[in-house]
Amino acid sequence: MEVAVNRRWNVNGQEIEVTFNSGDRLLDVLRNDLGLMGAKEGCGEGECGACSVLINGELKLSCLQLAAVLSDGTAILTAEGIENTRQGPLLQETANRNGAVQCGYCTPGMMVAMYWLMEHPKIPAGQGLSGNLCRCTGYKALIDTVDECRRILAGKKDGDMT
Amino acid sequence: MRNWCGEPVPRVDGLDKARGRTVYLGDQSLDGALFGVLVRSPVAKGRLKKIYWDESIDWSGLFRVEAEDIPGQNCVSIIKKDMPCLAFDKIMYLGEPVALVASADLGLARSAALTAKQDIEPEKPLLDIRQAVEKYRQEPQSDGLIHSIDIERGDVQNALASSDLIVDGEYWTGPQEHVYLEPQVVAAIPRGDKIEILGSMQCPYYVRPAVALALGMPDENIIVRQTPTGGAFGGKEDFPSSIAIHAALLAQKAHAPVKIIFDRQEDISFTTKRHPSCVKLKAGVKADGTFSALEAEVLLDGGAYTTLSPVVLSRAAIHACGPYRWRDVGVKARTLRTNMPPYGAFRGFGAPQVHFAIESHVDEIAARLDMDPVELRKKNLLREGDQTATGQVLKESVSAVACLESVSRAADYAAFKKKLEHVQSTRHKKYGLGVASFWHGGGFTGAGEEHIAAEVAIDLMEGGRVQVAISSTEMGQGERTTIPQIAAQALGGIPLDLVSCDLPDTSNAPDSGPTVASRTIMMVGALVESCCMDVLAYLKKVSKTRDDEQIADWPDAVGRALKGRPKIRFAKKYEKPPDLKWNEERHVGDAYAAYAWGAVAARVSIDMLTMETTVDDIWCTVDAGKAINPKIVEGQVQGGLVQALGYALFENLQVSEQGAFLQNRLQNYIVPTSMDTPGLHVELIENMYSRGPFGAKGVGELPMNGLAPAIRNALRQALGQAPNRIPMIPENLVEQGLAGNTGG
Repeated sequence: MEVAVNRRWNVNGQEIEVTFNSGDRLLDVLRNDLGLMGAKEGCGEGECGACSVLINGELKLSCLQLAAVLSDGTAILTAEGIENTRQGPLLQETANRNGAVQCGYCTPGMMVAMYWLMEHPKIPAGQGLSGNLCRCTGYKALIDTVDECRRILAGKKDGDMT
Repeated sequence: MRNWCGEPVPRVDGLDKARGRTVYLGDQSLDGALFGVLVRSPVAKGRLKKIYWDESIDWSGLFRVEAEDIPGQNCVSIIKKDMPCLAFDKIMYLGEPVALVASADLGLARSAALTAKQDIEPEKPLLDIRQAVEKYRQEPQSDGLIHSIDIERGDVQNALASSDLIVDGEYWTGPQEHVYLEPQVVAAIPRGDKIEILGSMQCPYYVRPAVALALGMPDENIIVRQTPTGGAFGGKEDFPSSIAIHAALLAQKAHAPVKIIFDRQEDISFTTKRHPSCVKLKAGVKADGTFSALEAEVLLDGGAYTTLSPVVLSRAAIHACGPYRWRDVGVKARTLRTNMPPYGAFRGFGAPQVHFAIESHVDEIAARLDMDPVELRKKNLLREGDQTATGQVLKESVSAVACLESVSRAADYAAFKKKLEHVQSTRHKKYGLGVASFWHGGGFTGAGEEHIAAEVAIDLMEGGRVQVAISSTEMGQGERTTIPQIAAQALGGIPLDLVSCDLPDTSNAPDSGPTVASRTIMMVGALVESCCMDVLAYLKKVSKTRDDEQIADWPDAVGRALKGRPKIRFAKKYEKPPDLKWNEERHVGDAYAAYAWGAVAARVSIDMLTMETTVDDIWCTVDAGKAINPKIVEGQVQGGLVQALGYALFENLQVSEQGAFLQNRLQNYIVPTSMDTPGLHVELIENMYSRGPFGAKGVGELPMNGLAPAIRNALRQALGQAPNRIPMIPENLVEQGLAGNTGG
């Protein structure tokens, strides 16, 4: 039987409190209770990656994530929150300039995966994006965007050190 | 003043999409909206006698619609009116809609729909293209035909008889699912005596008359607005009309907005797919490799109803001879009826199927002649002044040879061939490099553009703002960016941010035709360019600017034209160029105003233990005329190539004995991921088309056409024998007897 669950999370940098049904998926809570429509349901079974979010820094599929098991204090980052991160604007502008955005439906999940790849620079771009399906671009522009942003960010870091 | 055509400007909708801010219909909450669900037939063929509902459940707040409730005509009108909105009496495929249920609670609507018991007398269905082909060959005049097209040029039988060499072949292709990332979604909102339709779609002016006919309302009382569309590829060409009618029927019954959203399984199971095909070729060739005669039998599985199959068949028939010169041609093209969900539009529209056949066949001819496949192609490719199978004289913008030369140079074809024998003999892996040439007619076939008679409008507004009003949709292909580039340039190079092109709304945008057939830039863009020239001439007059001068102050000139009004509108309608001639019945004449051209090479390896094929590199050169936005054109080519990669190697749909697709989820319908993306080396040749906007032709479908046969030809080189069926999944290669030879 479903019971109401109350949680305090940090979503996109903000402390929030939310009440939902114990059986709800994180994707439902984000979309229906928090009004965050960036994460999309492309397949509902963890194949397409359109619902990707970061949970405590880990890349996760919100359609396979039971919301109730995420305890108070959990940090969640969705596509909407990326703009306010250090790498966010660079990623978004580079993706658009490179033609990595077409129909846009996979894009929020893809941006989350790309952001995660900035935090994990050793994972090859093609491998890191392989959980996110895109039917428009053929992936090259997406992979190029990750590589280009990594180069720029690495360059900046080197600059800071000298 | 700036030259916008040729600039890779970032797309206008890109940043919002990247920021997760674009609101798709599924993200939009509609006040008081109900969810609509479809009740579907449990058998592929039969007689539906009655639907029994469980009256013991609480039906308050629930609404249902059956065929008898339809106020207008019970059909989804497109080319023919043979497909009902809701089946009555005859069931033609498994999952055919028979009734509708709506509720504010989606779960409740689904449970109520499940209570429907259908009293059906089942009949034996015809489910498979193989059975359909067998039946057709036994009795070609049977009632199993949806459409027939014959193309005859010269005397093919005589020419075959006098050829030095005759090469036969038969090629099969499977269905392909679009997998647009956003599943089908539509909403209907009652607005007084009108109904507003919102939806993810390609063709608002297909939806409008279809809904009007079924609801028994005048066209102008149906207002259709496209919502941001998460991919389409042809899958949202005709299909949205059908669920728009369903939503409108429920909305009318419930006096409330109704949204219908498919989940992925429903979407893959019951929406349109690429037509499966069987193409039989008999080619007559001279000893020196000159092509002389081609006989082709093109058979497509059309599924249960006509939908778009006649025009898909027409494009297939015309492209069946490939981009080659044949003196004598006989094409017999047929769409066969089966008890499967209707097959429909998919990027390429009949052309990828026949390209798989003809481009595989050219390599078979090369093998028989012991000629190099690239040299054989070069000898026979169409050139300016040549005639196509329909007798069309190609007057301009022909680049078949240039594309092939570019690709063979880029792939270092000659060097690879030399290296190959040495590499093959030492590994359990085999390698191959295959090529294919391809072409694609831009715009509607034959008299299609004349029938559509596209209209565009340009609105001038305060501050010098310019709005392009067209019914062409943005579905990821970049229309909202490229069309303004054309307009800004045609208006004398005004700042691009003054020009916009919004998602269409039929209460504002004229009917510029459907967003299909690679026609948006080539046909609609040309009209926009021409309309802008009228605007410019008028503004020069009111601002007293000489013809050879630029307008010095654009907002001021627009202000003078407005004279205080909020906007003024200029319009332009398509006029058929007088030199284009077409005979639909005989399929003779100028089939397309212009063709885009391409060539592709694929370097593949195959693991002889698992029979798994890996494509390492793809080189592709296309000529689509002027690339208005080269970044967007390149994106179309790269994306199309990877879709074609899936078509060739992974995307497998099998049909159960009951008539269901076995691969109806993304867990088992496998599309390429970033790990499957090979090196993609794309080059553009710009061979201008005189009537295109700034020389542009269409590019959207072109890259879908050539890759599957190029991979097949690479496998032929690797294995010494060839698969003649796609998808070339390991199971199919084994079944065709291609496994077991590890070569070492």
